[in-house]
Amino acid sequence: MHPELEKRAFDYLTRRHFLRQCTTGMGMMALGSMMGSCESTPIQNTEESLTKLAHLLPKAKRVIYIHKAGSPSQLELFDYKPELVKWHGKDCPSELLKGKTFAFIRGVPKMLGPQGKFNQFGESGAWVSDYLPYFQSVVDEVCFLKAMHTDQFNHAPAQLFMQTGSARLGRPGMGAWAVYGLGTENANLPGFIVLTSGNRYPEGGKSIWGSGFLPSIYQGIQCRSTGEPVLFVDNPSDVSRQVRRSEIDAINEINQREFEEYQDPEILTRISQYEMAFKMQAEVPEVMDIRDEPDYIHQLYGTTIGKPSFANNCLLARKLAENGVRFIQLYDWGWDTHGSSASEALEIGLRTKCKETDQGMSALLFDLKQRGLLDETLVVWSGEFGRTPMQENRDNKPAPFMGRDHHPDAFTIWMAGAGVKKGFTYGATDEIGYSGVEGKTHIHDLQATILHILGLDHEKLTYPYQGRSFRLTDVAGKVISPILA
Amino acid sequence: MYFMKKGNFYWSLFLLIPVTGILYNVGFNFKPDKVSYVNDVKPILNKHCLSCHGGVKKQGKFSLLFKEEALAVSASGKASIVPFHPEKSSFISRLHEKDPEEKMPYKRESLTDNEIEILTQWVKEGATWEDHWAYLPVGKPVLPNSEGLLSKLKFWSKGFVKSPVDDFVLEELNNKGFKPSAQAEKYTLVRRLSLDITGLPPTESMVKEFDQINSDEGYAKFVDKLLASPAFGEKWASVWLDLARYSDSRGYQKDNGRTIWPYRDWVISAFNQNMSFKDFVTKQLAGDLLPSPKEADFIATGFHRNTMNNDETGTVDEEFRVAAVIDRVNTTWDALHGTSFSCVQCHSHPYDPIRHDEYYKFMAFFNNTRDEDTGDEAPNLRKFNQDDLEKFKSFDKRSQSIPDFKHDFFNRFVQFLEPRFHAHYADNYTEGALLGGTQIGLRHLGSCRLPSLKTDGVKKIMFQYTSKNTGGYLTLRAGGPKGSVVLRVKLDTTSKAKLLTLNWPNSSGRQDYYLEASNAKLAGKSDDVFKIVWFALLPEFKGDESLFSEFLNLVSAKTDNFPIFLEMPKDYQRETHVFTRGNWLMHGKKVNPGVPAFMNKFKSDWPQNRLGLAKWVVDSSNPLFARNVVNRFWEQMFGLGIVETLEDFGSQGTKPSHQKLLDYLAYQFIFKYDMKPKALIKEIVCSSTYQQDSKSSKDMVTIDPTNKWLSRGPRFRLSSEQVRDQALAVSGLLNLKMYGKPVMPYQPEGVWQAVNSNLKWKQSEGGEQFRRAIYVFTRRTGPYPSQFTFDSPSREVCLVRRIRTNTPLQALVLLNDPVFVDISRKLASDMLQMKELEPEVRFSKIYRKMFMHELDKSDLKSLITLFENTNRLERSKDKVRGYEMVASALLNLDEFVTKM
Repeated sequence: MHPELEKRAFDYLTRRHFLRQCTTGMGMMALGSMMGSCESTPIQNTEESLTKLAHLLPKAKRVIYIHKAGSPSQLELFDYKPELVKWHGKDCPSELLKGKTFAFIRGVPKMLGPQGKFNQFGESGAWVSDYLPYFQSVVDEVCFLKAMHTDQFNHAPAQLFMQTGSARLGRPGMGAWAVYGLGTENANLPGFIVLTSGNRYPEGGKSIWGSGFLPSIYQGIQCRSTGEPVLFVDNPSDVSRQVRRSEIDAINEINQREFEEYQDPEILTRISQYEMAFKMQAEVPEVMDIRDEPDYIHQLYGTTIGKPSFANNCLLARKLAENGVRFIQLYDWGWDTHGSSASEALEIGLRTKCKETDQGMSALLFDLKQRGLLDETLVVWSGEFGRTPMQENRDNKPAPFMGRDHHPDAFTIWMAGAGVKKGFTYGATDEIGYSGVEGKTHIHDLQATILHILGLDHEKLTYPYQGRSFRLTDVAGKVISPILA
Repeated sequence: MYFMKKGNFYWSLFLLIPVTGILYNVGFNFKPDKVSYVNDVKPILNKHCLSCHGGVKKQGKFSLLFKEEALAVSASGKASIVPFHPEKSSFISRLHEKDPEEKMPYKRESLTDNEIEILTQWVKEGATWEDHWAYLPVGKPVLPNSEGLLSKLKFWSKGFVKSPVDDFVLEELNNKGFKPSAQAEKYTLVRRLSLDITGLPPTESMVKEFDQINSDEGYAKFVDKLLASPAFGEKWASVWLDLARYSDSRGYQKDNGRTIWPYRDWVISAFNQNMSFKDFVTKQLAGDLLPSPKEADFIATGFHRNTMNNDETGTVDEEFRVAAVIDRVNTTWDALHGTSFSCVQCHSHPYDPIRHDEYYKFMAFFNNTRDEDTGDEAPNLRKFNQDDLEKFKSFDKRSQSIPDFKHDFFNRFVQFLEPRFHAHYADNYTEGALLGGTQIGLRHLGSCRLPSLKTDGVKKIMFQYTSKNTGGYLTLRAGGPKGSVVLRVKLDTTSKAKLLTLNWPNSSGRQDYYLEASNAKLAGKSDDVFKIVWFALLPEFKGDESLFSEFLNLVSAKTDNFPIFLEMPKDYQRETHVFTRGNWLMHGKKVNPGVPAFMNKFKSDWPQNRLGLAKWVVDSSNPLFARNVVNRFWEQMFGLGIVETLEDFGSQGTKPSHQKLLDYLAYQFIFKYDMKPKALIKEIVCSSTYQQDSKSSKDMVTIDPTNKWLSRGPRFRLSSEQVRDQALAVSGLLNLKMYGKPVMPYQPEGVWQAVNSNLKWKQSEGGEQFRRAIYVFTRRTGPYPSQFTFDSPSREVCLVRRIRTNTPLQALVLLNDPVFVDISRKLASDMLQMKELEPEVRFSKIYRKMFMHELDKSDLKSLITLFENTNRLERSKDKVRGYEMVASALLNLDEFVTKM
């Protein structure tokens, strides 16, 4: 056995011990379920149960997933199409429209040329537009996937699909699967933390980081950017930490006596959860506090203390990564560039959103690298689908601004850090960026790859529910091996 | 060998408890020479074979799911199983194969010798298929033998058996060699009863009253009182609303509000009326199809209108209509049959005998309701204000006196605005579009098709339209965009939606019509000539002009609207097709309504619609319905179902721990209690099994951690609703007002952030914020935090079983959620107002009020330490802070959040 695999086997056994002995009936239940219903498929031996979870060599310990809710236009940012310039303003050829349904485009739309000025950067020569000046300097860390495609063309179902593997509600988010499979590295913090920016939640709602049918201990815990970082983590203003300590002591003493009388192990769990809550009360606000960061770090990220922003969340993501959080997810809302208003315009709204976020996300890569964290952290950046090379003509009327409709057939995402090739581009679209022509990659393939890099086999990480074994990748998904480092 | 396998689990017990070990074999009538398909064979097939040879994949054209498929000729050209001849069956020989290409299971671990032996023996005995236990009809189980060896061993359990429930439980306890526990203390029992039946803790006077009771009769009378409390309906409705996926919002992106609380109130009141589950379920599935349905019967159909509705612009209404229908099918199986049907959507069930097309036959029952994922959530029951209600009554009365007046049409149209055609009905646009998914918009010389209208008996067409520019015309053509003109009218300008009613020339049959717009002033402009929200075809109106204008006024009246079920008119019934691989766009063969073959028969005198379906569900021959209902009631009271997997009564679910008990309760429920819930609950809580002490021992916790065998009383965390309601009740803050619009207690900022929605959290005041949890606004994308943290679901889809968790976030809610901080302050102020001055006495008094028993001395010491520490640390001279922290600690005790 490989040493890393052995270590993981050991961790796993210890965790199992923990779940059995110290946590709850809950822990036992989750484990029982992992191994199939105890009644019908008893655990045969430890080897078998081990192979279920820790059976690949992990490249990354954790994931930071940046989701741009609304879906940025790949044609303005990364997927440079000089041919589309020539098509600008012409009617869309009918063969592109045949058999297609769009969210808003009706009748025959016009083609829309790229709005950004493109250049090649870094040794890898990756194309990036002038929308993202900071990002231009970190492209050699990045692996682009340019022929992504999805099944969904509306925000909520597409976000659910991207994050849970299913367009319908009720499936666990990717982070929930990761924590279910790997546990957490820091017992004082939740294993799956979600940060949002852009003044709104993603359209898919909290279900996209829910635990679905997995036990609720695996759900993403949303840390808030204003007010308490976790709901109810702060004591009321007139309750000091010492008083709280004294209260928890009293509660736990009485509960301990209760246990001696009733022998119910749930009481022991409750005692340990009160201790955990007390630790979280100290640790969460500390990790979520960026005031102690030095000035040069604030300058690097472009953060302002006390002003919630995507950049703040990038800095927080680094702190959470340092503190051993397994899956950190950043949702940033406001990328739905239809052209029906200034804020939804490619030439105005998209520029503003890029300006607000370019520095933060580039700084995150730089900062992770300078701390050696990029070697053990996988960073993923995506929307939920792409944008059309046609200009949107909502209700079959010309739009007031430059905008593109939702497009599920071709879009760009990028990954960086542990497990993926640096300065690499995989997949390509046709000359106008309408469809993938090589290296086409489906959402389920992306999910399989992320789990693979974490050391999880997407076909084996399953949970029995409603009579069948469910997994993140439904019944599909192939690891994208050409991009693996 | 086989004998050993079966005996393994009990072997250890055998060593511990020799006498009962022997009894086990005697008691179970064990026959080592006969293999049971259900108990022995099916688990092996499920584990090793069905993933490749089951309902999903049929490798080598061989499947073991249905008998006829298993015995049929497979790809090899021969039958794989030859009954009575294991030596001729490749099904057996390939288990022994050494060649990895031939060996079964293919490229996987071999079966054990023991498993192979069982399968061989099974083929030798003729390879018979048996029905799964849950699919056999509910028969009356025979009470365990009270004579003979067993009863002689029951010396220690004398007096335990109060009801047949105890007989069945005791039989299993004896088999395992376990003893039941003594009766719980009265203070424990009264709290348990009150929380279980009403969801609220007992009042001080109830505790006193219960303390005086010393007979089974007195106990039963006390139970009757609790069952008669209006709080009963609120407690049990909470349970039902998880199944009904009740929510005050619509789900999906915008997650806008939905006014469907009258349905919630209907459920509460149905429980309080002790409505038979026959009526309870029939009205919810098909109240609209009952002969002369009442308003409440329509409200009841809200059950299946709790599906989500997608208001996001650009979504295809038909896709989400189909998604809602599929959800109704799945919920009908999940909630009423404990069977997951959803996997049959794409293929035959992998483990249970349900075929792919049976899913769609079942779906056909639900595929003809009027709802179409429209923004107004039609069809709705329209609730008139007092004035308009009087007008409606007068219209109704006047029209009664007119011979041949079409009441069925016009009065229903006023009540529901149905049948009508929504804007999305139109297609084939030129110079126009479906605007925002909700309006037909046509520019100058634009047109669209109104496909396949049936016009026999049509006398008028009614449009709801807007037209902002003068000079617009609306033209309707028959057959094609250039077809003959049926009608043409110059439009009045209006920017507010207005009704337009035009006479329809005589016509018959079914054909396409084309709507055309013209307004020369708008030539070349992008303005629409008119927009149409809906239209309707009306039959002859036999009244005079004034009656017709009364009709029009009522149609335009502003009303409160509650989503309900209505059936499609018979001329516009939808066909149902199998969806190939579950894809709603890929239609396979057409199917008619029908129920799966493994279930009870659909009787020929039942109508082939939802009403017939409801009759089928509640029929006494349905093997799953009653078992499923009684199992749920049991689970609520014991924390664990007799079938632990409430959601799965199939072969992959857990087996019932007490099958005879389950069948006994189901039998009683159907044949003795007429499916009324109160009698069932009473029978359960009057048993000794229910009344046991919940103390356990180290040994029993190890042997039976979940108390599956019921050797002690129930002990588990309260539901999210009970956690809130109990804390409000003991502090005296609880507002017992029933029914009505949902309330909004304190909620932190920023919990609601759905996109493009105008729904706002506005904190309730004047005591409304202290109402029971069932009345708290439930929003799918932003569930109420404290409820969600204690495991109440987000209600997006049917949830059959809540999984109880125990997390640090729960501690944070009870410690810091301002609602609970307020409650601890209220308890502290209660203590400060007591005439006794000693803190110790005050603690003891408040403790007794919360826990119904005396405060233990060492616990008192812990509280005093907390009290003194707090006052010292906070320099609280008046000791208020100390009282507050003691109250908070009491709210956080395990015993407080636990039913025991």
